[in-house]
Amino acid sequence: MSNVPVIIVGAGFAGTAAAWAARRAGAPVVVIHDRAGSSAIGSGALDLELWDQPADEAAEAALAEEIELHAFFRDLGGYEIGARSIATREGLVRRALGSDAALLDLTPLAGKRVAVVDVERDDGDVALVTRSLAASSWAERTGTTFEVVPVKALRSGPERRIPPYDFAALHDDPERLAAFATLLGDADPNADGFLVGPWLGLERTTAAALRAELGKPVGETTSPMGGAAGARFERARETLFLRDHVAARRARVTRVLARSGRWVLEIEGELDSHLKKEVEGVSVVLATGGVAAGGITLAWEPGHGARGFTVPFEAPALLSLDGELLASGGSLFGPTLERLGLGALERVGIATSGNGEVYGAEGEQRGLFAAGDAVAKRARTVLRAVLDGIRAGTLAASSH
Amino acid sequence: MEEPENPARSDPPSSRPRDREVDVDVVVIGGGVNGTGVARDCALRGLRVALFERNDLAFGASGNSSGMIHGGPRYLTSDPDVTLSSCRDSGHIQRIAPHLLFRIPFLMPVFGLNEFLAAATLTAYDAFFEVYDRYQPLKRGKSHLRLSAEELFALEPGLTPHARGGVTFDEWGIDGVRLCVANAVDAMEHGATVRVHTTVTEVLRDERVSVSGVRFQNRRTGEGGTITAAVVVNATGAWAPITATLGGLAPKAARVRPGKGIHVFLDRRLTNYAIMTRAIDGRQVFLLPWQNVSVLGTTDDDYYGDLDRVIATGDEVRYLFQAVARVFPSIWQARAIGTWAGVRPTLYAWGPNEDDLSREHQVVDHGAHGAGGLYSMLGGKLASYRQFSQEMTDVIARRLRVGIACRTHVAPLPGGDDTVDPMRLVVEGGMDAVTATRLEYRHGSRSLRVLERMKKNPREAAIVCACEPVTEAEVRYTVEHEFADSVEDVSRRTRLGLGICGGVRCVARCGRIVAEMRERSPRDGLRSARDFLAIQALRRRAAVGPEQARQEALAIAALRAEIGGTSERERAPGEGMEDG
Repeated sequence: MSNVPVIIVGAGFAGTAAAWAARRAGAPVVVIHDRAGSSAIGSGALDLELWDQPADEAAEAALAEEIELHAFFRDLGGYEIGARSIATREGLVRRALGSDAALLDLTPLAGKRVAVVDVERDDGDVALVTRSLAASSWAERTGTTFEVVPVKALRSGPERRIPPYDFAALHDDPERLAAFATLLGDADPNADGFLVGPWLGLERTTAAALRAELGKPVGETTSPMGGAAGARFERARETLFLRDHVAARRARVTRVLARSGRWVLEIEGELDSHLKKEVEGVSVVLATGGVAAGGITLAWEPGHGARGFTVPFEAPALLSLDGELLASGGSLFGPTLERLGLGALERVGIATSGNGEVYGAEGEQRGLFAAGDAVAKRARTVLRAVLDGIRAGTLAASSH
Repeated sequence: MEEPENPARSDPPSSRPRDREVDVDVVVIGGGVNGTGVARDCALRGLRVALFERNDLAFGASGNSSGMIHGGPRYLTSDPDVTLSSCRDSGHIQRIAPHLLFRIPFLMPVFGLNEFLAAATLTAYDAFFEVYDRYQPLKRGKSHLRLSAEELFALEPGLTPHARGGVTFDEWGIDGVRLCVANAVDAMEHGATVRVHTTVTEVLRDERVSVSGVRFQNRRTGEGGTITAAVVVNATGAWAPITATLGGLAPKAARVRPGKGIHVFLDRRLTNYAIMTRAIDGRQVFLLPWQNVSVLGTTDDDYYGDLDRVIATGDEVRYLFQAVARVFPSIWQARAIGTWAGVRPTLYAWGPNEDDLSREHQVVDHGAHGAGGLYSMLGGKLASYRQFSQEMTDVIARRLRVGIACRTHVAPLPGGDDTVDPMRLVVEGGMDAVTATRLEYRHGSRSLRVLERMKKNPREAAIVCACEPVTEAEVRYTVEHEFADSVEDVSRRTRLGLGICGGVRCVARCGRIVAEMRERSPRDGLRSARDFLAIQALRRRAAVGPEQARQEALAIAALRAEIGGTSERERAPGEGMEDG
């Protein structure tokens, strides 16, 4: 074993899981990450397949056997694994295979009375959302009632309008949280549970503390883009990296190349420096995200966009869409999404072999892996990303 | 009105003037600017009017034009009469709806030529706009200026460094949707019935001599009926030949040359001024800053597709980008957040290229086709809608022997009677300045009615759509007073959901509000939101470039988290999705 590390590019769920797995396998790990991706703006729900698609029951059943996945979430903290029903911020009740622990699991409240808390913030049309929840097929099927409960929890005018993320941070203050618990209990002493907006703290412990204080189920709806759930993920990740001695560097990768049996990454922008630097590793996991995260970009200026989709750095990686490698196409302006549909933006990704190794012009790139949304044709879900990440991290460490 | 199951009237209504035995004097088919304009004019002259719109007000060309109300330098050499009447009517529109107007100062750069040719071209432009300047006082426009290269770059630093100078000229723009809505609301307030999403299924005729009314059906509820009328006006724009067939006439009785035009809108004001340049085929195209976006347009191509679903294509978008890139090179990096497309009902001619077609208008009397009392309004343009409506109403008034004069050029449209200081909305309604300015722009003095709602219920001051921005009170107002019935209808009237986030943050909430006000289930509101997202995705996907691609992927992910998949591959519009 040398001191040459495994390099993980990206620190969303896939990159974090890969770093965790590589550390577990005993390799030194360097994570290089740049801007926030899909995980940092996630809803807090954990899915294997897209929840609006038919469930893959066999895959779900197999999830119980994924010991590593359970170990990862145990180490990360702040998540609960297991089938549940959660409320979306738009007033639907939907199934998930796990969630951020701050979200309210409605399953134990089936057939009971759920108080939907209205603190009169501008972003919450709580009365209409409650009407929608009450009319959901889940509520009708289980005989659950949802009722609006006004709670005077705002302490100043601006709290009506600040983003949910900032409003969430206020509840990390124990005094404020205790006061909120009292207000909730007084507002509706007979409610079986309380559903609040996505603002129960940025600390992973806040929602649990409120539950203990109140003695009843209380939790959030899903988070909107850039909401509290994503912020809690980032905090959990930082803690995990510290604990596991993962060196995290914030920089942009500009080039990935093989040199004398090692992988070399050119990076820039570290600590706002414009100097280019090199980082050397025995193996690399690209967990750079899909189009949403900026891990795959689209060009259409004539002369530059014939292939359209690319990774935003130089690398021996080919992209694929719907099972076909992307080559220069029939349009100088790049692929036409009119034919492919906007859904192509979710399906395009780095071509990989069966074990997750990146496929380049000269075949499989030994020691170069891809995981998470960066990989072509894989459901863009958290659990898939984590499973991918664990496998890639373990394999990357084995080249050590 | 009688329901369809009732037997049809056995006695043919006579063509007596103001026949009290018919339900209404005039049925207007079409809720575009000409249809609503005629309905308003007729209503102001005391006629009983019913207007039917198959889709939504301003659904076609009226709501999808660039909004420029000019005679246009474009028509100056070929159709000077169009320039004259348009400039004059532009002046009238400024008087009746001052809140809806915005000034568009244009730059027309000269570039890519040697010094001698550039100077000659500038001189030619100078002379051309000298002539156009004569029409400017009719519409309170300013005279043109000739600019040196230095002056040009000082005004617009992003222009190609090859520019050698240019000229300026002055135009006015208007929000075509708001104009249609204002006309329809005014018609209603003067007694007209306005039915949107209601298609005419048959134009009824007596003895193949004259029209007697129409049969209609609401496309959303399926409910229908018949209504008798002395006059039927076909103001259906590009749909005109189809409407003619509903009365048993040949399509060529109301023939038009349908010309599709598209616009692309970009996420910010890329330029300070509007820029006019030429496309690869020599056509004039422009990039104009409007409110918080820039608008790129337009094309003009013969169109043979489905008029209920006109959508910009990738090659149209790229044609425009390529044209503007020569004069404003950074356009390829700009982010397109949407497209809109409409079909012009140009007067029919076989032979000429699209751009050489006349923009004049014409009233066709179908008496010669055995349908007395049926008229078709063909051709025309936004800028001269009022004039065209007046001409049509004059014909109707003569037929019905009504002697009341037209007042549409002096009577203010709703909201146009007074100005409101947006600061008053800020102070009294607790809105921010941008919200107040936009609200005042769209509603004029009627923004005070929206303000009243907020005072009555302060929670209606909440912002539903943050990109534009649009308050809950305004959403409710459009449903209650402006015939909005779906998320798309609200969006058309307020621009809700058309901003940089593509509706991700507001459409479900808007749908809930519409459903509640119409006493429908919350699920219906969500369906309406999904329909809007699906059609908007189609409208955007022709224009997805580097910046927008990421936003689209984010939007798909965010919507999936909240309301389930909505991309066009996964769900057809209207298809519901059960929640878990």
